[in-house]
Amino acid sequence: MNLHLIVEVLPLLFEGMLLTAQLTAASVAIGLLLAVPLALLRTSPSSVLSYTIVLYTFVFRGTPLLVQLFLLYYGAGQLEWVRSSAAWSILREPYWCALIAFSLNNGAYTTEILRGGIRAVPSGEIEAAKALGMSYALRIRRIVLPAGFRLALPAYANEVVLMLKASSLASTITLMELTGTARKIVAQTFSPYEVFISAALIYLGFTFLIVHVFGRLERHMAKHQQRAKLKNHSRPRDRAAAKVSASQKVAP
Amino acid sequence: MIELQGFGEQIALGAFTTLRTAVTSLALGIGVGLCGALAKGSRFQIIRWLADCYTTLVRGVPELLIILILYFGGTVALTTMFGRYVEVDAFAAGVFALTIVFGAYATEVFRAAIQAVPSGQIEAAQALGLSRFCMWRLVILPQMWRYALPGLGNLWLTLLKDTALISVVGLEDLMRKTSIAAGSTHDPLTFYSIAASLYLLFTSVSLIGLTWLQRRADRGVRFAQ
Amino acid sequence: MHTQSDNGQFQPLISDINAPLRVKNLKKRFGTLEVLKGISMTAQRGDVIAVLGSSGSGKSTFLRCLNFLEEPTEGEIWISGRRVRKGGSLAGYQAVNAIRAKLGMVFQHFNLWSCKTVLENIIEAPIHVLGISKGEACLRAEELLLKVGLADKRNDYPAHLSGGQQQRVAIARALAMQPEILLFDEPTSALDPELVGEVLKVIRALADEGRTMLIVTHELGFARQVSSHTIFLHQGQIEEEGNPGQLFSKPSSPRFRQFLSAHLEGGCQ
Repeated sequence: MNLHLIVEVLPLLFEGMLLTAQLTAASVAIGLLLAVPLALLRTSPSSVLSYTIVLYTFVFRGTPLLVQLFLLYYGAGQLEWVRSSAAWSILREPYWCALIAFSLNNGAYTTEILRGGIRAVPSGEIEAAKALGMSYALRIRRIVLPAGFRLALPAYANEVVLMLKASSLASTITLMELTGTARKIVAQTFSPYEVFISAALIYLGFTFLIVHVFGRLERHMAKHQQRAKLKNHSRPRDRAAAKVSASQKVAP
Repeated sequence: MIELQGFGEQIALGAFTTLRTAVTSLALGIGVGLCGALAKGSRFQIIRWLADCYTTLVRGVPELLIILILYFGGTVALTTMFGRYVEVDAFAAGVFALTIVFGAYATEVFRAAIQAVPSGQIEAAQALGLSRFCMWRLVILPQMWRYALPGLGNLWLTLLKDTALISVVGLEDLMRKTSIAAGSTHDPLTFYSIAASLYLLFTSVSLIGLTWLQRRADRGVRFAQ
Repeated sequence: MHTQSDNGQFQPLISDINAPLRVKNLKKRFGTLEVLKGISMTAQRGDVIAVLGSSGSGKSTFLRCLNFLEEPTEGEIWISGRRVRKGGSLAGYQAVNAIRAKLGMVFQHFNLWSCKTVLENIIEAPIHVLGISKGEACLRAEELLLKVGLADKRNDYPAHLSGGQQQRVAIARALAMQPEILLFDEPTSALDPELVGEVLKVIRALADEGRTMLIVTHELGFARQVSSHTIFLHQGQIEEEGNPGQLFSKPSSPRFRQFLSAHLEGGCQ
């Protein structure tokens, strides 16, 4: 193996790296925007909507992202009404197809993660908000979502890392992101180890960055738990957090 | 059975390959995961360090990239070794890659599960004078499964879906067969929808199976919880 | 406190019309299980009403029905002379959220918001429900903290406090809404015995201020000393009620007598 080549290839991968970062960030952002209202609706009692959302998360979490991506990229153009609509100028572009598929996929996983967080908010805290006369919207905004986010944060951090890695699938529909660029260089140089390892190192760097940022965020948000370990009088939050991780288990 | 413009049989074959790949990787991956978990609990720092490196590296790199590295890298390695062009079998490369990925995540699942076995059980085994090997075989491993099952179930579902990635290097799995059919019939919408439904079927059946397994594993411990 | 005619019909006195709290024939069913079988009562300004009863008697459900944490199946509730109805704000009726703001509730398990500081817990609702400025809310919160003896804990998080301290913060949080009535749902039941006293002291001080309060409690001695009226619930009905002095010394209902002896012997005094 040629260590020299690993270092040499790094700058060539730079552009792909930017696209990977951009795709990941955009998908995560749109996924989150989708997931917040869906998770709230999913935890609310209205059942018709709830079933629709269950179906959405079930389908997107139960099928490979690659299938979703191909279905959108290759399949959408088959529909006459799509071709004749304004949406076609978007769905024709691999970039937009990737972004849409990733966002929907990420949104489905994030919905379930947030739901876990929201459900783990101790019911007493919500009851207290009710008893103080806070309206539903106010309770959600001031009590449920902030607490739910905190509880869901570790699982969400994982999900962001998974999205980063999943963004590599964009290379299968001709996008020159990190993996796509690496494949192109491999085809030119016939040095798969060096180039792919270079790319892997960049992915690792991104992963560490994400883990680090979320770790800091978590520590910042866990202020309310520090010192609590000395005087353990009531720590429903710890139990709640355990409940979240439990609820993340068996699920597609 | 629906004809699917003559591709029905091919797709069924592909689905079978998908399942075969997933099950083989699962079996091997569980082995790797167990070894990884033991390594993480090792007395020797170097072994613990190696195990940490393994899980951190694998979990931080896209599965697709790992598959590409093993497939193309493997081809290059074999070619230099034999002095002529040798292409790695896609099934072998795919199973190898998925095993490595599954093993890394399974390591963490097993490690947590082993820690979840009540320490009293281990103390009791020690008090009975069981050897280290016997203690693992008779006390820790049988109990650990129950704690590991939910995590393993999740990994299995991920594994099932990840098999689709091997189609990128040419494994004739469900995904690849569907792509071929979609390409030659110019009807990607139908064929990818069929593939999606089949994957959905696999994950649904897995979920049902996992629920049943969990219930079985929890037998007799109702009161303990 | 109220009169009840022979046919069970509830006849409000003139003074009852504008009482802070009036309840008529309140019923609550969970499926086929009837937990409250028609409770009627009135609390006048300054009344301290102790609600006693063994577990399962419906006393907590009763309290939770008053501010619609449980929706009553049947019956009517008036707060300050206005009838409460779920959701609606028809003339003469008040929406539930507005009512809840007037009823300060203190829970058995404190239910403080664990990711907010003590001060944030107290100012949250006044700012966002009553719409007062943050500065004013803080000022008021500081006063209340002083009152419950926790001025130095304003920036701590609930998890850093003992149970007794948390419950005192919860009381301050309820008081910050300037409620017309305070509802206490077994405020000391979740506390270690040595912490009960500090909370009871705060409640007693509130009673001395002349606040209208309903207290569901197991602390019989406390109920006897502090309450102006005692209600004993049994299987969802008022089994016996009256002046605590009389009630405790000469219980007429055999069930209340049984309850008293069981609890006093048990050392729950």
